[in-house]
Amino acid sequence: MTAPRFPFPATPNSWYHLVWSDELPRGRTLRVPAFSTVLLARRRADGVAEVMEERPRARRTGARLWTVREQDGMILVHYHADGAPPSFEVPPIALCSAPGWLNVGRAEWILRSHIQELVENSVDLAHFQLLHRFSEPAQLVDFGAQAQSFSVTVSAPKLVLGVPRSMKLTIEYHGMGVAVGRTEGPLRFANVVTNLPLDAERMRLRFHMFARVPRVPVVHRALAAALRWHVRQDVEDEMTVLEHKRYLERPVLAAGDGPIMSVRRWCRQFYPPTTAVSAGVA
Amino acid sequence: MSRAVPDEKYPAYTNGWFQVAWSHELRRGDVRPLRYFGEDLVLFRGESGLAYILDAHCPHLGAHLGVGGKVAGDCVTCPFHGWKFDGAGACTSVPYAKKIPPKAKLPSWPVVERDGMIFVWRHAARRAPEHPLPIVDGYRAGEWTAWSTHALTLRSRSLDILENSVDSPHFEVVHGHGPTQPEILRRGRVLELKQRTSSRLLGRDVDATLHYQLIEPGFHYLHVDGLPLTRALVVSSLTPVDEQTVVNRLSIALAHRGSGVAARWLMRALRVIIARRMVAAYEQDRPIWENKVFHEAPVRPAGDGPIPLLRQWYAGHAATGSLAVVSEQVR
Repeated sequence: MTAPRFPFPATPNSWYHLVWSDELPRGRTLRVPAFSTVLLARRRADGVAEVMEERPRARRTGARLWTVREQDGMILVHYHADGAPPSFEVPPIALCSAPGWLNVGRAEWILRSHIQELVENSVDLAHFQLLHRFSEPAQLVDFGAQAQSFSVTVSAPKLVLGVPRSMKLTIEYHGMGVAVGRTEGPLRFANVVTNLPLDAERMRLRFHMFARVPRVPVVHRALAAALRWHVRQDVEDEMTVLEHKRYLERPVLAAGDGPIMSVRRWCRQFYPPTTAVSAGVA
Repeated sequence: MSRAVPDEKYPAYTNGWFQVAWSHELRRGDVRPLRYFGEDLVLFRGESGLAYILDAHCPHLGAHLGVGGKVAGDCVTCPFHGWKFDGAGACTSVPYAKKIPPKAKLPSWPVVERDGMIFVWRHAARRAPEHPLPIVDGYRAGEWTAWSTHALTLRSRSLDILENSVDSPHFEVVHGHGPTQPEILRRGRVLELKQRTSSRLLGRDVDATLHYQLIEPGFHYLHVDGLPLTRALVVSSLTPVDEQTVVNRLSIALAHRGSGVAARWLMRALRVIIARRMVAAYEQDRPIWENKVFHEAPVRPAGDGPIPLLRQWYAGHAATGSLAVVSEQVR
């Protein structure tokens, strides 16, 4: 009766982070709601992770095994509206095992939004100041889209615990489900950010946070706690906006807004051509 | 017989003035999200003290100005990127850009604040107000107690609730009142309804006269004469939230008698008692409104209320070509 909130399907064709590797010991099966259905993730005795639908729609196809990759502590599953095989891979995320980088924790949220909103958000330069405590408008350093990935680098002074620190932030997306954000500057941290469509209205957002810190346990713990607090503040302020906003197909943009329309064009490749993001109807 | 009121004839949203808040709910600098007429709106009070209503979603990237937005001067600031909009909906600042895009504006809604209530003008074609906010006859602030305010959200439509007001036989059944002799009269765009009721109040039999003025679908008031010691005034507004939900706001006041402090306190106490009775009576109707089936041509035993007249009046206020002449063929 009411128009759908977003002008594109809930689940683009991409790789999605379904569960963390360590949530799935040998022999366990997890029920994971995703893509408006329920998936079962299980790890066989030989250590291989498998994903299938709890109630396959077509009886004939039976419990089809989904295409799975396990990398960097995540079990990724490939979604395609027509069941086509993957056309790209998510590259290994080096920092998960790089020396000097410490795992400072994970966080996750379920929000009423569409994953494309989160993808667009990464190049939305102007929102960093209000919602991520940048002390000045962010400047675009670099943006480049190549096939199923894009990379954006912005620079701005960010308030870290109240002190402005010059910072450069690079976000890379691989498909619409997996992103890596890294900072350069006095404080170096990185987040693996993943988007999982749950249904037409909700998505799951997950963060795996890393920081480059001295291997001194007290410092590590304090910094990890501060970083987790920071991420939580940033995401939760933004969640309120995302949950109540309306998706505008024709936004009124201003100079300094970032390559939002370029990212929208990049996103179109992940939707079936018939439902490609329309240029808007009169 | 159909479940829903026919849309084209009796749309859920009519043209006119609708109460959206009481003044005391909106202090200087407050921002509130509103949902009325199936639309997202933002209500805010600027530092000048004036209240404004705009479409809720920022034309930039769609954030809801009423959720996290802040007042600066007489503008509301978007929580997403800090764009500022004045009460007329013009963008006055894009904090990171030198030039404001010419398309950066939001539709604004005409607002009138009077006697402690905030009203918005709604028109299907977004036309400017075609008439001023109606006056409540017989009300002068100093002569009445402060309002006792009650908002009821009902899963119903304005027309169903209005039919209830003019449908006298059920009035008796539901509220246990004595016999009534309803009298309905149409004066141009206004319906007037007079009714005598008897009930027990404070241990006495009370014969009261209800004088109901249906000015427009969103705005009505009721003078109750014949109460012990005083008279009552109920300003009632019906504001549709969407096609299934309506908010009924009741503002109840009693006429002061005498100017002594004791007399004023007595009236305030009486107001509490009477308001409670009235709201309880309204609440009794909720199951009827919420489960009512609309009959295009209701079965009408003799003595049934003047529902056809009300429906014509309602349809007249819904017509987009305003001041539509409604035929006078009733009775």
